[in-house]
Amino acid sequence: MKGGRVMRRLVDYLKALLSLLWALLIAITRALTALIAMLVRGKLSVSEESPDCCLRPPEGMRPRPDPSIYSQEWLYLRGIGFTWDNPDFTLYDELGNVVDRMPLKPGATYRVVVRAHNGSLMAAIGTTVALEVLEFGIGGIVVEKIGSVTVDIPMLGVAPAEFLWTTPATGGHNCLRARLSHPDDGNPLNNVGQHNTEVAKPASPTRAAKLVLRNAAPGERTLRLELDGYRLAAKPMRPSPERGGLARNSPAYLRALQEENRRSRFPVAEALRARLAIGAAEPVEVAGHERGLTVDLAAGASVPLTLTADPAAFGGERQVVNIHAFDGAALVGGVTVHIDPVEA
Amino acid sequence: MSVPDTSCAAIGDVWEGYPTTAALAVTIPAGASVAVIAGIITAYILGAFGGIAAASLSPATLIVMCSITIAALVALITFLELLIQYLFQYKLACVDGDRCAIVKILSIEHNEDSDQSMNTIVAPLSDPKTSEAEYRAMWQAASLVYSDSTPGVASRGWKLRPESNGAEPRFGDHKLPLFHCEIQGAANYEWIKGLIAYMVAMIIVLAGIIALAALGAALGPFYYVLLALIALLILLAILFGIKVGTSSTSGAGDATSHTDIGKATPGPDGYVVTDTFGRTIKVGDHALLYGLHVIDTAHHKPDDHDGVWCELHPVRAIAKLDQAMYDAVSTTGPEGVYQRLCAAMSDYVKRPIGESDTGMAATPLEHERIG
Repeated sequence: MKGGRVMRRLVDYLKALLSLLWALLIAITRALTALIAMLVRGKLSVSEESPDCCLRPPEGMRPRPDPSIYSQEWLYLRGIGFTWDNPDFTLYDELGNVVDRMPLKPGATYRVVVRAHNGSLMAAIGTTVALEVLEFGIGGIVVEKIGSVTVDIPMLGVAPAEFLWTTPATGGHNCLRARLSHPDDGNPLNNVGQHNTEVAKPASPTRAAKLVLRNAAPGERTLRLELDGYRLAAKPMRPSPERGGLARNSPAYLRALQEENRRSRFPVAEALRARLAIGAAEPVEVAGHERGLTVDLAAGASVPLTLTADPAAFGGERQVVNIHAFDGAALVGGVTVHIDPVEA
Repeated sequence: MSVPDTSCAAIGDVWEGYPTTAALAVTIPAGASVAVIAGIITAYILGAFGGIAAASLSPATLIVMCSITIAALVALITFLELLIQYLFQYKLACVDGDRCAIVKILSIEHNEDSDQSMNTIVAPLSDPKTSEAEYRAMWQAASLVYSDSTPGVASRGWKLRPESNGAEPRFGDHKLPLFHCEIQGAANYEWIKGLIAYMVAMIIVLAGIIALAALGAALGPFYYVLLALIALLILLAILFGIKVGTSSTSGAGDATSHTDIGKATPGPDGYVVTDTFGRTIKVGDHALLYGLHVIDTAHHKPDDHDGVWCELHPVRAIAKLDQAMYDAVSTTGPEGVYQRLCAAMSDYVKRPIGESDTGMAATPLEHERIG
């Protein structure tokens, strides 16, 4: 009997304790939920941005085109090797034949076709492509604005922009530069591409390529010249996640692209013995981009550069020498020189 | 959870089944925000749990309290289903399906229901001296701002009055009405569906408690197992609160560019957003909008002279334009720049997601000659 009474008291005690715990839990729950409700109300009614000026539409609702061109500056920023022989530029003579790079005839009219790309699922309607001519060399000034045309680039597609260009009557070499612009461009950093080439034909055992290095900046600069033999791959990489390859936006794919196109993998061919002369100084052999030359230039000043190379071996393929100029880590410009093999 | 498909049949096809007045709308307290409604429901649920806890000392009172709560939950679910039906089927009466609009944004509103609104004028309107007759004669204005459904809304007793849209500031010397466009926030739908799912789960738990209470009344000490179940119920309530408190409101603003450019990097080491223009849409921007062309019937009130107006709701896609394109839009028909832009936007919105994603995945990242 006594044991049963103790048991009942214990049960009553447990009931009271549980009731107290319940009350406590309920109070905590209510307080917590009230707090959360306040927070939620705040989140629903108060925008993270100024309510009067702007809004940020949700994902998928803000399609933005990405017009682009083969852009040396963008590729450099991405850590990928590049050439100044721009694959997006094609020149046609008056007969419609493709012109094999510079030099061009003086006073002749050429049709310049610039290929504008779009890397987005949204068509780039009304993309402006402007073309201008620069003095031949690195950091050159604009000598002529050819004009601009407007093109519609389809989603993930390409559109040609065509220009007519009459070369100066005085002849000489020139560089071409295309600029793309669109009011809603998702990536405005890949919109400028240059086409700066020179062909050195071995009319003599060695032939010099002459160009100008100019400092167009407002202050004095120390420019570093580097050379490499980078050229575009005959069979470029492609993302192929469905075949067990790398996905387009994966860091691994970018790393693979960087490795495949690393400038140091493309040294200037040793057989060419490429030599660079700055001004009237003696030529210096520069093999490999890691061994650059530096030039101090005052604002607006320029200095002639002369590249000499031994002719490529008889029967060999055309060789490439890219000359790049850097101001610290910033790319200033460059030129691609093609060295033809010795003719039979 | 996705937002429901709000593509609509032309209003004429569903006219017979359409509410003759915005009857469902009056069941929603005027001016009540979703947050307030959600707060009331949440407080109600928690209050019911408090009652259940208080009643838990006796199996009989527990059974009664649980039964009352289940009945209340069923009523609430019915109300919420009606609310969804109203908000996503009847409130916005379809005019002619998806439409494209080239506009200039004059003001932006962030609504409490997580929708984001833009009040606009349609291209090529720019002269503040333009009269309403001249504006009405412009093709875009005629077909977007002043267009009626078929049959006309007057046949339902509604008044189509674009000027009754209270958006300010109106345009020009003649106070031309603004074209209202709304980005649908997902918060409403997610809140309501989440609440319904939660309530259904609670009904199941409460039914279990009733069964165990009846069993506990017969078995004595076994009743205390119930207390553990009630503790579980309270725990679920806490989890519900935490879930709500940490949930996303609409997803707006969380996204990166759909062009994948937002993931591009200007350096070899790390991912940096390069789209310097950003995704942000600002007052004064010229824009291309694509969305469902509807008449918002929620503003009709049978007992006064208020009207209804046309709008794009929900807006499915937005692109920025420059003023030259806005100015180039024809006043006489859908041609030229309007046709080119709208075809591009339509292709984007209607693209088969799987195929396009595959196409994008196989597209070179940098350039076709590099990879």
